[in-house]
Amino acid sequence: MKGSWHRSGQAAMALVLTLSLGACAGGGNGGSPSGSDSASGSASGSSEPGKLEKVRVSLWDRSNSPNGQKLTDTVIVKKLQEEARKEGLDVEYVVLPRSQESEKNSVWMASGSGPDIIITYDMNAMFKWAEQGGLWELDDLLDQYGPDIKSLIGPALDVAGTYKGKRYAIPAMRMSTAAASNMKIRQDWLDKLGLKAPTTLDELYETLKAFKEQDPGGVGKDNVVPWALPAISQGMKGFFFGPMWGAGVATDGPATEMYMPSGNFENGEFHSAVALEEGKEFFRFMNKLYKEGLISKEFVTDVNSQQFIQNYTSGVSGFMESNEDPWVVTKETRKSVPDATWVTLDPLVRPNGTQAMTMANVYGLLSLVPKSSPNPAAAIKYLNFLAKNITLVQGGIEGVHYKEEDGLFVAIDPAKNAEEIDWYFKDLNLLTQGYMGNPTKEQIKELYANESNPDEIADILDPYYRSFENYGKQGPLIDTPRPVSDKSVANITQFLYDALSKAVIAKDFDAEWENVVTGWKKNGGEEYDAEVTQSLVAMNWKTTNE
Amino acid sequence: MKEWKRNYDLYLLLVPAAVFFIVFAYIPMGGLVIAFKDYNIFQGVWDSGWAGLDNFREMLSIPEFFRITRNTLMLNLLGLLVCFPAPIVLALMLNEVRARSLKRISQSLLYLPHFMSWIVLGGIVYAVLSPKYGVVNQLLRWAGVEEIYFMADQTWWVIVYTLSAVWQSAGWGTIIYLAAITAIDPALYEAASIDGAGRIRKIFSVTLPSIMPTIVILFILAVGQMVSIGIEQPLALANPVVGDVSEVISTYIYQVGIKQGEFGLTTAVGMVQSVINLCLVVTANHFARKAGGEGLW
Repeated sequence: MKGSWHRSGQAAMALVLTLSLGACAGGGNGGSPSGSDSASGSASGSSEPGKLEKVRVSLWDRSNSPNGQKLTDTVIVKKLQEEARKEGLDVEYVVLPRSQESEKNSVWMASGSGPDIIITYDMNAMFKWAEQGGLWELDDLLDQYGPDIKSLIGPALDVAGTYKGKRYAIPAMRMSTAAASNMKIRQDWLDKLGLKAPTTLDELYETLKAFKEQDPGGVGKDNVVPWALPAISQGMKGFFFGPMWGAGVATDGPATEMYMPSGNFENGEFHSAVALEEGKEFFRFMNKLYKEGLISKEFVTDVNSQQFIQNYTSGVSGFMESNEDPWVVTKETRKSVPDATWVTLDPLVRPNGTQAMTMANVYGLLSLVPKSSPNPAAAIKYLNFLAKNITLVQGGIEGVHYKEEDGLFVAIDPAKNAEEIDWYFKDLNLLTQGYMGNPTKEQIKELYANESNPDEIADILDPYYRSFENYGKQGPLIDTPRPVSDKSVANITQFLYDALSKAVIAKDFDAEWENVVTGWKKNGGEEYDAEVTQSLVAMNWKTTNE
Repeated sequence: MKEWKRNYDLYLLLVPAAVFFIVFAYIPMGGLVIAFKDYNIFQGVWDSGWAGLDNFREMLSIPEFFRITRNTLMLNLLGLLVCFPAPIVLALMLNEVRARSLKRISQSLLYLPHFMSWIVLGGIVYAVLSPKYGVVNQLLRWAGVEEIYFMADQTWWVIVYTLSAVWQSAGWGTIIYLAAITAIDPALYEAASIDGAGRIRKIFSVTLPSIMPTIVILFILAVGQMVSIGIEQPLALANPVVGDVSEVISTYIYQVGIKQGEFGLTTAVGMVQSVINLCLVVTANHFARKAGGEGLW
């Protein structure tokens, strides 16, 4: 109880600050002090008629308004505000530019002037703020005010949003986890050469070689870049997920900015990919491809992915790995090569006979309630209200924007939707990403009904979804503090970008690999692995290697 | 005091500038205290615990610290040797151009790169030097020389870095020198002509000595920037294989400090940078005055 006194004092001060700031900004609602007069907010009588609880919610502005409409005057925003008022909530949307997510959030956290709900995809930011005491704990509030949230996104709540066992975030749930890096290959090239899709890393090598030597695209032997690949660096699309799974590396470690499976958990010990024999052999394989011209000679300097994109869209490449689905890539490539067809390449058979690929985590966007929020209960009440009205932010207003057919939300008038809702309404959805699981083949046809070739698209996309369903694996989400990692992971990552690039283009691979391993150790790689091992043992992690 | 009273209106004109520096330069210096703290953004500057010299110790213990400092110094020293004289030479040359229109056009063309972002310039550099598609290697192939992968070779990368800096800044840098040149008394040139001096003689005996004070002052300022380095150019030109020479203090702070929110450590690095820069300026100034020239103060 002592604590709550202290808190309410703090919160009251924050409230004064928020109100005065709101007044400065001339915020729309005439500054009516309608909201929480008691910061504890746990009193049940807070929703008396006429007395609205104020809640301020972040909303991303992607500066994509089609006709200069103000984001805060849009149809769905108005509708949500109107519906929320019926539940006793006075909702204000605080608009921030999408590209300034991290800056804005940092400033808000530091100055205590932010909205009641802050949104981010950055799990580490949440951990950091939680550790420093900048976020409200949400366990009790969720139990008390969030029954609809729980029933809507239970699976996401089960795996994410906690730190040291306490809840600090409401994670949005990805309805379809078929979204992550996937391998694609040019079916028309395979057909032309009479080849079958490769099923192992060795076969992939043979296929790439055939692409290079026989030039099925007719672009000139010297111009073929069989595997389109950009630089290995942060934000680049130098992905090694699929092929490296195929080499025997698994994803038992936490996700980092290295775009490859993180490492294996064997006999109670975790080893990062570069510390594994499988990892070494994979980069020896890449080194061979480089020497034989099966990847771009210039990939290390393609630091903005330009050549990479050019390679696959101009039809000189036959194999690639990226986050886009094969139809998106096919459509792009067909602009210059009309008969190109990219299809999903199922995961390669690994040395131990299994097949696996990395799949998106079931959680996505995180909603946080900063300590500066005077009334965290109202934030949870808002999210619960959103859970009850979730179709509003999944498809728009039923009967106006969409109608439901076979579990699909079909737009009634796509042109009207493009203008009225499409450009922003998904950003209002803080609880689910998408509205349905993976579509069936029939559903894909309906989804693409307005394209000229829905049958072909279904043929291309169906295997894509099914491969995630059959082989998708998720890495662990460690929610305990990892001080060693905090200190060293950025240095290790930075070092590996350089070192692995050099290993791929090295004349003498074995000598260069020595540098990779010694440098990795010098930057604290072994200590990092030891710490991950501890966490994995504590959470009873089962390896993804089998 | 009397002087103050008599010219109070003139001092009044100074007030806006003084306020500007107090608010935007001196008050923020208080933030340097973060370098000695275990900074927690929710507790603020004052309530965060003291960390003594931990941040500085941590700075020295970073495995890359020696490398990034060496790279910063190396790139800056090369910049001083190559980029500093470039605008002087260019200004002297432009000054000798007699056709007005030619002078105007060449000046504008020389200024142009200054107005482009390094991201764009970086893209141009990469495109021009690409081994497969770039113009330079095309020419090399014609000449029968084996192609060179410039941007992936450490030595070449340093050369490209330095020369691209000249390309970007030299034209713009001529403005100050050209201004100084126009201020030279024409009588000096006439006198030199009467004494029988040719154009080259005049450049060395009249023009250069006349703009020497400007050169010295700019040189002192340039020396003062030796330890700091802008972030755009290294970031735009760097790639993973040349990390050994391209990783500098600013990119390191950005990649490791800012992205991880290590404010204490970052402030410590920034503070050390400023202190070294200040020492360098004072030293350079001292020598400039000792050598008989004018210093900054």
